[in-house]
Amino acid sequence: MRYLGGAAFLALRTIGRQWRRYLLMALTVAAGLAVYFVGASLTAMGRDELVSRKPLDLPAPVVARVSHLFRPTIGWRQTPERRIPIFGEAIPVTDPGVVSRLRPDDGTPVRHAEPGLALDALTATGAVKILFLVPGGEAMASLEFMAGRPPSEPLEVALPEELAAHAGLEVGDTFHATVNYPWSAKASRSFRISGLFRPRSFLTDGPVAAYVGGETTYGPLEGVALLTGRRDPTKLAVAEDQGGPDADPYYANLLFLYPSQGATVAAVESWLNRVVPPLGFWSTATPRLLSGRMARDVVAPVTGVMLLVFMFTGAGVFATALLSFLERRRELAVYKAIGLDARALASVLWLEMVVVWLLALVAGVLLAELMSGLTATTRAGEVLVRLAATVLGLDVDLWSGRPVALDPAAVLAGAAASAAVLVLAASVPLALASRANVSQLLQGGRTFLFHRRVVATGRAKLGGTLP
Amino acid sequence: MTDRATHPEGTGRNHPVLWTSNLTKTFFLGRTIYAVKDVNIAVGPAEFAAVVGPSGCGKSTLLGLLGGLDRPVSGDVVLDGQRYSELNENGLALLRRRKIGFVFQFFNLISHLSALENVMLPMRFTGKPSRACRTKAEQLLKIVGLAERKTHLPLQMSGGEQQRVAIARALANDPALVLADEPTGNLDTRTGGEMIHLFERLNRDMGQTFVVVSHDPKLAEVADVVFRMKDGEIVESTRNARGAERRPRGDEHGR
Repeated sequence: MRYLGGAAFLALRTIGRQWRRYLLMALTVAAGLAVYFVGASLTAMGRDELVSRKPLDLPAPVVARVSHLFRPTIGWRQTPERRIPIFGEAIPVTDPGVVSRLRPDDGTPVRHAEPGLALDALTATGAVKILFLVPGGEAMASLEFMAGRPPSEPLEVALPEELAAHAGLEVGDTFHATVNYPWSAKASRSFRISGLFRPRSFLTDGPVAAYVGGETTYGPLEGVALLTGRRDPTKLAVAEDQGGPDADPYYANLLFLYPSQGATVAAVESWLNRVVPPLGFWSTATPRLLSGRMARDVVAPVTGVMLLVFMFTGAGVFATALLSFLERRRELAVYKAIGLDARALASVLWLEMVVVWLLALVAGVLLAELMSGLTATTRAGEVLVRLAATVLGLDVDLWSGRPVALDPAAVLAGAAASAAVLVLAASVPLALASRANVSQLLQGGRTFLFHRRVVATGRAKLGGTLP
Repeated sequence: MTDRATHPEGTGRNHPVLWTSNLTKTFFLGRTIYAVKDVNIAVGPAEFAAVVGPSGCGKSTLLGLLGGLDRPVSGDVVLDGQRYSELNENGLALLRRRKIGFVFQFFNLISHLSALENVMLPMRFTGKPSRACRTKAEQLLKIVGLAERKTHLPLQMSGGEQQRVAIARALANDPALVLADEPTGNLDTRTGGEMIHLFERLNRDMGQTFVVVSHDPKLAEVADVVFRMKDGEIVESTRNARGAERRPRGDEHGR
């Protein structure tokens, strides 16, 4: 601790005056980190995809659960003062089953997500029965409206009578739903309850669903189904069912709300709901980029590329540190001469590396976001991603058109790995400085890495200064 | 903690602050070469000692040994009662920080630190508060006549100015001993002369013990004691009457 003031004084001034060198080093690390962050997040999503099937009988790994907290969140808030508490761990519903059918209006063939498998999955989570509604479709006919009318205007919603009773909602009430994706602004909408219904189909003798009717624009909230469990129907969780790029728009991006079995996440969210009411209700959902099969195909090659990039970055940083020592060897000798012992010297070099590390971490996250955003939203990005998939020999379409949400676990792992590389990089000049011949360096002589001075007649064995 | 070593011939206030016993340093270049051989010197408190001799006679090696930058193959150095042989590398670093100031021929300032920061540097690692370090550094720069140049980087200063900054840095922690290796070797004659006067003045005013290695005959004239070296050995040790008259004896610096 005694050295901290001196080390900070020296390290910060050194970095301040030679900021180009340190910025270059930080950006090199940041570039490697960015690739790692995106790659690891992508593969984490792939792994989650595989894991996601397990929650039906096995709990998801802790990492997957925690990472869900940082994924896009969907919060529901009833306005003005009544609220529906939502909690629960989102269990992604994947491979909902894609079936082909003819579009009713013009007869063109379309593929759409078949909710059946999703319903099975959701049912297994505790949502005993689910009603899935298609606007104007047959499913609507299975509803017996007890109050109000079916939704017909944008942002109107019909709620099951049972849910409304539990939530204390009535026809004409408004509630607020928010979808918050990390990469975009919070999307929130207010919904007006147009009617309350009682399901009467074979699907709907218990928990029920609601449809946001009318010509709402397509987006994350274009179709909303609320599902409740019998045990506590007012507690909901959110998942997303993605029908794929060419699925029927009615089915794409449907948001299911269903009871959660994730007790830990539920507790956290419940606590947040209680302690931070202004933030509204919390829940989580995980968008899927890849199907399980895709995940398996993609994880290995992307991991390989990621590790290669990381290794090259590490080697680059290591080489930079070595060159930096060769440039700075006299400076380090001066530090030793004026009395900096090994610990003080280490404090200085490690502090320099901490600053580089922090810079690299922030820049890495920003770069990763930028990289992910650009590849997902630009034509060039699409070409690049598809090219990468071809180079990697993947027969899956990697390009999703949606940015990859950075996985906190990947960021943590990248931070730890880069810290290790930088500690090693700082250790090189430290080790070499400890072996360098100080008095020889200070007399302006040339020295080599292991302080053997080449002279005409041989090598000085004792490491002392030649007369 | 070991006992303070005492010089066999030292008594009372005239006890040497720096002394060596049979100090020897060799190199192996196909055969053993003695860079420093059986050197026994003693320098009293606040004395100005000059080590002179032809190029390659071992002066700088001796200075490296006196400063704890090198280890001898035999013999020992004692500074302020502390034997170097009893210290490990970190102990020697601590000794250098607290008790030794270095001035080099090539100045060896940290190029990216300003004059003031260069002088503050040794103090910042003693745990002294930043403000106190700054005040002391400003005082020292004023003493060496560079108060107006404190924000300049070494590259923005002349050789003489850089050497003044190096001297101020050497004095930063009030060392018992200041070691200077050819301090005028990289300066023109006039600036070299000014530097010698500065050393003389600092030695007189601040009371540090100075050991200066130099070719410059002027330095030998102002020194209290001159050690002449040849082939790694001290061949002559001269008390300089003018140097002794220059300053009243007994004005020990009280460390």
